[in-house]
Amino acid sequence: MATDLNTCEVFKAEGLKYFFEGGRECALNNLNFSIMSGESIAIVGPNGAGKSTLLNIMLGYADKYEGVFEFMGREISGWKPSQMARVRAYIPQENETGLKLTALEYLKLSRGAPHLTEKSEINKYLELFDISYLRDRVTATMSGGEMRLLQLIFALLRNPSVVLLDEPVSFLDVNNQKKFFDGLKEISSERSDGKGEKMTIISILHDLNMAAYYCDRIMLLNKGEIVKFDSPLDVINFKTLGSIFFRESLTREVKMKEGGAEISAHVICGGGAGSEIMEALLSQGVNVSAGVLNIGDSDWNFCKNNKVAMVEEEPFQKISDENYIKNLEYIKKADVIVLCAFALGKGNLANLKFIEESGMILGKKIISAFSAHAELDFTGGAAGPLLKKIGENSERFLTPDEFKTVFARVRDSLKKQDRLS
Amino acid sequence: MIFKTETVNRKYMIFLAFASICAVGAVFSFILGQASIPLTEVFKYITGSAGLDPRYSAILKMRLARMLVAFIAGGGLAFAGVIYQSTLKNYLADPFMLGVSAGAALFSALAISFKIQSSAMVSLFAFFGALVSVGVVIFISGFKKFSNYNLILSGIALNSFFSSFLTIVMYLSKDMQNIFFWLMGSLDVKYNEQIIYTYVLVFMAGLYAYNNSHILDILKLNEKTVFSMGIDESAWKIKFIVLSSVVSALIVSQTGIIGFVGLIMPHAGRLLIGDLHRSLIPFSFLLGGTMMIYCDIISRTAIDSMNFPIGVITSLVGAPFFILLLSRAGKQGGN
Repeated sequence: MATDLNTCEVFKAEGLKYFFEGGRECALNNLNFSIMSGESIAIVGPNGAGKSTLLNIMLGYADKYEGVFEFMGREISGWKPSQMARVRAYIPQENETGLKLTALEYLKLSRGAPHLTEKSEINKYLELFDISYLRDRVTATMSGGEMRLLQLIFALLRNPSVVLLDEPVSFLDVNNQKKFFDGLKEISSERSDGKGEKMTIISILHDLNMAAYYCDRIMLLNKGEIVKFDSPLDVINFKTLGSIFFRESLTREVKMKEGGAEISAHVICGGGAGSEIMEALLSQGVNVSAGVLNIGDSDWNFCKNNKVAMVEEEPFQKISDENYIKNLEYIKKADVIVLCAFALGKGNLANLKFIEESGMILGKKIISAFSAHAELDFTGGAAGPLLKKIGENSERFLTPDEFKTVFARVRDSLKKQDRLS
Repeated sequence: MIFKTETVNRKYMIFLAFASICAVGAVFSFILGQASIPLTEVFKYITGSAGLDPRYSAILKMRLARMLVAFIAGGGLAFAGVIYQSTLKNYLADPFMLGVSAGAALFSALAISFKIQSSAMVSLFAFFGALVSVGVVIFISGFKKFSNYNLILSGIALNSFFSSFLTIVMYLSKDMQNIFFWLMGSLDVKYNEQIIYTYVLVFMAGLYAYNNSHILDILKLNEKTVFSMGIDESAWKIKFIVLSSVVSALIVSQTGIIGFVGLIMPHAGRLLIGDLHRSLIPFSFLLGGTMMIYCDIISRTAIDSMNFPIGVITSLVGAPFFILLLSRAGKQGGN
């Protein structure tokens, strides 16, 4: 990164502010950061955090900002759109709709005029992404995923040094998400072999797993301010994310008695949301299991290090039916089911489906951090009914401290039941 | 579909098919009319061989002139329709949406009411009326950041304002019938210098749009994508709108208001040959021109010794044809 002599600052912000048109409301407040060439950056944060506004400024599209914002060493407002077009490409949040061209006709437009792009070049990219079959099909008949990959090729054909992506994979299934980023990475490193210069990739992402896997640094925005801009490991942990996605913690001292091995708990988590919870449970001697976790996930790491039994899934893969059933077996054995607040995607939605197995959870206690956190739902609403049902059948907690209180209460009631029976 | 091989081949086939239909229409246009002319005489005229009856020669010369007017008017309006629809990103747009027809109508009505006799002068009035009204629409919508939405709304406002004005002029004028005939549209254009200029200008405009057809494709992409490609959307939009407005103003000033062609032919073109403007622009031109030649034949021959107003025929013939196309496109699953 910074050690390479070729690298330079692609973006530099000093006291960057942005106000919404006409209003006094601040969309971005006093941002200071720099992004070096060749870096891969993810911008994450809840809705309304200012992610898109920041990307619009990087694009040169929103130019009424205050403060300093430099693109490749020059104030971005001093760049002509045509100059910037030579070095950076952009993929909007929306698919190109209403376009009735064949894929080939569409891609030929990428450099502004059809004769500037060779057919062979287009074919090369189509093959790379394994979508040659789309070549002569009309774009309007394609799926969202196919169109997204074409949009990526459209951007890559322009040979950009910088790529800006606005939620590029939010509506793609896990396979296409992987295809999208793997392809992008491959082209980027291919470039670096040839010219010694990697692409700078900046994307707004919702999937924290994705961000951690593909990006060098993550910028966490909230209410127009940078909460943290650091390596994925430092950004994706309960403390940082918790401060954004959850309410202020109610600091309450809870003193637990030692010993409780007669109780077992199954923790459903991911993305680091479960680590502190499991730590609390383990320290109380509770028999802990976890699942389903993707290999490489930070909760997965925690379980590995602490020898917690868990159901594992391949990295970035959708939860398989087999693993779903394995997870149910753990749930069957557990007295308490703990649901931590992790980002819900199509890939891990199956982790909530246990709530529909009413026979399985009869008489079990559920403690959940979900229900009020719709901002963690990136399934396009598919999680809604499940979350509602979970909300109706569970006790709530928000912070790890609160969890301890709730768990103590649950444990006491379980003990009482034991004594009665 | 019949042609399912290479898309390019398919396009050439469709192009060729409609060019032949157009040629057949042209021959019929020579033959038919108040006086029928034998096919052999028509061929003599076309090939320029000797032995042609001088009486036929004079009639054929008139029919040729009229046919050219029909072709350029139909083609030009269809062409302007394509550009309006694509730049405004609105498939209900037609060349008259931003006030061309209303302006031309009002100004020509004023000219007629002021007893201007020369048809060339009336045309000139109509032309400037059309341009003035489009200019006003662009100016008004420019007040609040140039957008399609503002343009279309300003166009609607100006259209209805000018229409009411026109009604007042017609109500007060003693030449109501003359104005009315002008409004209905007609291909009876005197073979004068103006129409030559129209041909040249429409052809040049067409060539310019054809050479920049990829920009029209790009303008249909996401606004921010277009920006990221370094293409000045507003500047191109203005360029294209002015270009197609001049074309339709030229035509309307010569022929009066001929509706339907500019709205429907671009759609027919898209259904038949696709959205790529490089093929859509020339093809719509051909399609519009062909349709107008056939409509002209009908208007001249449907009722003996009477020319039906061409604007009526275009709708009468065009609408069923278009419905047929739509239903076929629906059966193919919206391909």
